[in-house]
Amino acid sequence: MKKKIPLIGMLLMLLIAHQHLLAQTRILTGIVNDSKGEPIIGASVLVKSTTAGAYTDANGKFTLAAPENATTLVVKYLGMKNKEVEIGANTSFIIAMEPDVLGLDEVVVTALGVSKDKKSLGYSSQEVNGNIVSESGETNVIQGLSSKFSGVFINGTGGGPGASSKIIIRGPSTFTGNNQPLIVLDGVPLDNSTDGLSAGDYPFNENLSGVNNSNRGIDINPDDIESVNVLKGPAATALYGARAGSGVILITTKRGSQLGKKQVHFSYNSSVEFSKVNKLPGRQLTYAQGVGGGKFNTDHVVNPEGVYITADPGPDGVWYTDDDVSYGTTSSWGPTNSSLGITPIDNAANFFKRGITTNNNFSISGSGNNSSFRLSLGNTVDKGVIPNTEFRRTSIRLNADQNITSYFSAGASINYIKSGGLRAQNGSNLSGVMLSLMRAPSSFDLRNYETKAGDNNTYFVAYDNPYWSVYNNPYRDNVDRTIGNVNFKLTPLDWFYVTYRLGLDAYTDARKGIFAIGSNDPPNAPSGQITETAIRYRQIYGDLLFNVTKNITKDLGFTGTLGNNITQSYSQNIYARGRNLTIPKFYNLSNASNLYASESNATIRNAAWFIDAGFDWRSTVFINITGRNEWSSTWGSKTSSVFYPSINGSFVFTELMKTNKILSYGKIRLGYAQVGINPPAYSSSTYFTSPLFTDGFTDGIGFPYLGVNGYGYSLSILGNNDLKPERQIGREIGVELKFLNGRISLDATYYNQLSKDILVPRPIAASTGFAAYYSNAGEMTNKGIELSLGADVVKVKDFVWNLSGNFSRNRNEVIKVASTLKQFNVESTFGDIEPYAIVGQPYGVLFGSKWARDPNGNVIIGSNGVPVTCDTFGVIGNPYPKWLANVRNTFSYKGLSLTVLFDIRKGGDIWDGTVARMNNLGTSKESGDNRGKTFIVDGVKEVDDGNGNITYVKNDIEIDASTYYKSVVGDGPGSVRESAIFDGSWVRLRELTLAYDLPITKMWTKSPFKTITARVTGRNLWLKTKYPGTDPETSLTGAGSNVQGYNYFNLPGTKSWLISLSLGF
Amino acid sequence: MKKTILYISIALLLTSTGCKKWVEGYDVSPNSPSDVNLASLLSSSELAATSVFTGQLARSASIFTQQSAGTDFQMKDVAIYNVTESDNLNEWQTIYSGALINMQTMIDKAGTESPYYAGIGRILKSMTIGLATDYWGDIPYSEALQGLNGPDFFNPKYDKQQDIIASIQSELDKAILELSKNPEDNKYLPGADDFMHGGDNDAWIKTAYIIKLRYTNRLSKKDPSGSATTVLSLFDESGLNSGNDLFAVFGPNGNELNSWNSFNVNRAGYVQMGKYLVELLKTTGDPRLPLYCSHDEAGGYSGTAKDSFNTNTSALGTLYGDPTSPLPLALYSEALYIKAEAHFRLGQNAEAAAAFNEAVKESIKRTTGGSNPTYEATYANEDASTITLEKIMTQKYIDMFTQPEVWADWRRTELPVLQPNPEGVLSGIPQRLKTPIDERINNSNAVVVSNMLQKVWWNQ
Repeated sequence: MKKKIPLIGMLLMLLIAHQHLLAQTRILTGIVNDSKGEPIIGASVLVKSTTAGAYTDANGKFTLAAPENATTLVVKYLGMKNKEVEIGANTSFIIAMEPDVLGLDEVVVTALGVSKDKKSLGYSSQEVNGNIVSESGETNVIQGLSSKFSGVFINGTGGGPGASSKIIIRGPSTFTGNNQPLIVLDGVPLDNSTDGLSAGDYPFNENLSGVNNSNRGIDINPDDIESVNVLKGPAATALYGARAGSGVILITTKRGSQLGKKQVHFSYNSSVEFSKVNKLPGRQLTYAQGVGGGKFNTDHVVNPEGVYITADPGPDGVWYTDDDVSYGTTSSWGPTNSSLGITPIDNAANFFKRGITTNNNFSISGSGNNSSFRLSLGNTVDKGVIPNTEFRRTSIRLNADQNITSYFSAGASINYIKSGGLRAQNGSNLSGVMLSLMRAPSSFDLRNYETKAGDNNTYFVAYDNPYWSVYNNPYRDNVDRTIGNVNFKLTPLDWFYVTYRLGLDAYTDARKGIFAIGSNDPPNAPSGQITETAIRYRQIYGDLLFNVTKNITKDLGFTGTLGNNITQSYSQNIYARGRNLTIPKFYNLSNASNLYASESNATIRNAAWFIDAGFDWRSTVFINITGRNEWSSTWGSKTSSVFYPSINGSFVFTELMKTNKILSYGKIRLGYAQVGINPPAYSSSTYFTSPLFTDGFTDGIGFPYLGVNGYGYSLSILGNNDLKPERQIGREIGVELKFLNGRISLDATYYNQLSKDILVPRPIAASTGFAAYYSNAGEMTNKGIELSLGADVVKVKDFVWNLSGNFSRNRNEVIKVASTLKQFNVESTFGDIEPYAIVGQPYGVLFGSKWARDPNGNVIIGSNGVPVTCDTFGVIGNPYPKWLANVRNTFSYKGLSLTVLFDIRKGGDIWDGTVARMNNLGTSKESGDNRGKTFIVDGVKEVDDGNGNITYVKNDIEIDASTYYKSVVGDGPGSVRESAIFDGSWVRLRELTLAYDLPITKMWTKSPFKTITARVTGRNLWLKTKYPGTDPETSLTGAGSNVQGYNYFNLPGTKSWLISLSLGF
Repeated sequence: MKKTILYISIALLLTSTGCKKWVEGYDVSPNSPSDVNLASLLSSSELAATSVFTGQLARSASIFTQQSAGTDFQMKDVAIYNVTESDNLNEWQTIYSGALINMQTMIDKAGTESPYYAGIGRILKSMTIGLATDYWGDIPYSEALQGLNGPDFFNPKYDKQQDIIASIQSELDKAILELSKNPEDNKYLPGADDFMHGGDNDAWIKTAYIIKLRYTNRLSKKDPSGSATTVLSLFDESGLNSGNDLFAVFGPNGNELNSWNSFNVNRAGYVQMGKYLVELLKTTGDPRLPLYCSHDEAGGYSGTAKDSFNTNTSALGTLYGDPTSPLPLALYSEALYIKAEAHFRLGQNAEAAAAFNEAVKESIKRTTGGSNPTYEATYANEDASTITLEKIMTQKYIDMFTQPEVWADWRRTELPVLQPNPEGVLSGIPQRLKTPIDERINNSNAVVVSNMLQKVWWNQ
């Protein structure tokens, strides 16, 4: 297979090339004007059904070599209606184009890179220009897509440079698989995984601690992007089969400028961004470290002050030695700082600094008669708000295209990227920056982070000083990535062409993590640790497409594609760890006396053939049918191949109506399709593993043990030979309307997607000897509406106010988990709060400990004045938003434009373990402000009449501040996770951009610059939310996880100002 | 048109065959084996047993019996008996899908070809299922561990505790027979893969007898005299001697650390020594005190009271708390205390006193490395007139420190006399654990018990 296709293709090419070598060509010239007679620069003039063509020059003129038998010229220009001109015997032409205010000839890139008329599509797809992404100022292309589409949920991770962003289109479609869309770059799938690689002997979810890793999409330089097209539902993505179950994002890169005239174009842009933390939980600066404060005294009066305790490693300045005086305490329930003569320190204010990001891009694009290229160089250096953190990316990309003959063209792209960063420890981690910083007492100045002996100078022996952590525990990653493709197009007949594309995406990600001697994480290695990890990834993709475009009758057009594609992806993760370092600050594995290594590999192969047939009746009614038959190595051996059908249609009803001034364009569309999601590799059999046994508190005991290795079952998952891919069945209906000659446009979609056969490593009772059983069992629906509105609200001579907005609402419901199983823990986290799929509930609900309630829903208060904990866990929050909206206003006056982008997220609960722990430890602002107070928790007391009849009366039991902040709103003994669930809704000013295009050519006729644009952008300048912690756009686990809505000492978010200058010459 | 269809069909057919070939043979994991040897399974089984017997279950038992004190976070919840149905899920899972499954796989794989492996497997399995039934009462056993047979075997029924204990005895009898065979009768012999006894079949036979004694004596309330008689005859038959002990062994590396040490390093301040035990040792001048406890912040020895959460007290000492300290799983001294208790139950006080005195001396020797005449003159010097059940159970309570068995003994005899934590959410000291959440949700045959004060069968 792999060998046959190029061979057949080449033979075919040679055969046809031979025929055509005999053909003659003739030279055609002409000029293209607009309706006012002004020349159009850069219009494409193509000989129909060939690759011969040219672009018009600065005077609107073109010259091209056409085959002798050429009959028709097609002239295209963005914003103009396509124009076809009979050639006949003419050799010179004057062509006038008409404006296309309704976008009727808009062409969009669809699945497999096939361009189609937008009006023919029976499904929703939304495209934005690459500038909108690059001008957002985001380093990460995925984050740059935020607030620009409808139906697209993007969630950034927070403040660390290079942190991942998660993207979900039309709601989650699977339980444990990848809920993020397939990214396709210039027709070739691009790896966008977020790999939180950990040791083979690490028993917990590695996403809960460690550093925030990048999603690999971050390697794409936003400045290289021409356009981004979001294919939202199965109808749009059907041709991608089992890789398209979560949607597809098509990214097209910029290519060389216009063929036909020798010219070279340079562009340079440079920006600098200044960022700072936008929001932190409130801290109290009144009370010092210590214990016992906020409690009732013997007279039942709350004494706010407690006893001062702080850490002291003794005269030697080294912990865990005989002279240690005190290990300190995590609590800030001590006396007031003033009573101790201590000037309070706001450690958080001291710690964070101003982040600076610089971004430089340079590109050359050029063209000759039959070739074009674009070479770009981009460099980004992002130094974060956390000291000693950064992300760097350098990208070199070359895109080249060549018309070899009038019927054979070839193109190639090569992109080398070097990226990586220096990252800070995060989350549930004794070296975690926020963990130690937010728990730090105001009586302890963290800035002096080393003792005289060079040990951790900290307020509590078990936590790293955050400065220690960032300076002594660096984590670096270093990615070398090559993305490339070659493609060929052969047009032997005017109604038939063949394309072949071969793509490669290969990278290595080498990471080095260091914990200095004296660090607290990992807890089993107080003598330091070095980890060396290497991820190798390589994907090869090839597709061969035969395309036919032919009118069956005068009124009935046909386009068809028959194709095949194959994919192989290989990944290898190698992890090496050294512990017990001998020489301080020497970080080589040779310095470790305890070494461990693990490895994991996966090779996945997929192959498919597919058919795409489209019919078009008078450009009014369009019907499109596709089918894809697929094979994959990850299915059970009992499943041989799987077929995915789709059908969609559109009806441009305004074609049948009289032209009217109000409704200028109207289209109804309908689509039905099936796509899938593949099972993970190697889940069709049951394997032995090297077991690891843990108690949930330590890293446990595992092999190699006392020099002996062992294999066995350990919470093993039973493989299943019947495994097949999950299936997404999508139905959608939509309408596109344009009013007042295109001044107002509206696009509305309703969709109803059913995910079935969802893979569930269905938990089975451990008493079976196993933990779970892979089965195609789950079912879930996503139903929603998407609205997009565009309007030129004001349009007078030089001033335009354009408004565009998107609104989307998704309702997800889990229909089935697995046979009798009604609930399923989708990813393991903290035990008493977990993300679940529960029948009748939205996917990913937070399931955890909660208060007991009376039949009326009131919290039941115990005799100690503290709410009673419910015996069983329950649903305590939905982390996914109810609806999303964004509104972009663009005001432009001559060369000046102001863009204001608002982003609204309604709903989306967040468990804030940070705030709960700060309350418990007495470092939160509230716990300081109210330390002398008493509280009566809102709820009811149980009254038993002695006969077992229980009635409820309003609670009147006073509790002291200590009890309240520890057990009611904190995470102390008797507390529940429910009390730390907050609404994460927000309204934010996502972007504010003022741009000025200098009229340089008018000011200075001999200017070497053709364009100069100066731009000031504000990111996240304003945020309105009731959420008490950091910026609610946060994620503990990042994009590599299906956990949503967790904040446990997450790094904070940022806001920034960005100044940029773009030059074109 | 017909031709076109024909060509397309041929093309698709060719493509389909090619597609199928392209994906074939890529479904076997290069990361994990599909089959393993007996040595691997024995190492895994012993490691799993180590985790079960020295992890959170042992820690909880130690806190319930006030040998240790839970002073912070989750351990404070244990101290106030606020234990949820998910708190011990991890241990339940380790018992079945980490320990028993590997032990059973090893027994099945060893068959009659390698009787030593089969015998060791049966002993480890008996110990583990015994612990599970002590903590949870009726549990899956006869239908358990059948997951590989498919979805029809995903809901194992709950067996009665008396049936499980009977099966423990018969499995141990089989093990003794298997381990009594000649080495030549084995295709494969255990060696370095057996961390605990280094492949010594006689040592395993001795362990089998201790476990037999443990579960015979467990029926003291159900069959007071019968159980006592059986204990005594088993003891005579066993040939047990000083030093016939079974320990969980640990090493200095990250994944080999002593479970208590690892916990105390990771979770400093969560567990301190319990006041009851420390005071008991202090008031009697017990030579085990400095071995059991570390110095407190004042440089002395002190324990945290059950209703206090003070962390300035002594933590676990070097005997059981160092990174490489072995932890006891079955001791000769335990057999002696069981013998003493059996004699006492039968009214044979002189024999009971003799066994008791020997037990205390054995304990002192094992822990301190020699005898302690001063202490033994007072506390290992009982006779028929002075011996009491309380003395037997109190010394056993001290000797068995860190073992889950302490909690079982206390539940059975309520000795030494302990008061429940007044801060506790239950009116008494727990009698069992709640049925784990995963059983409640995933096993339709689960018999769910949430009342931790409900006594298990042998204690009813």
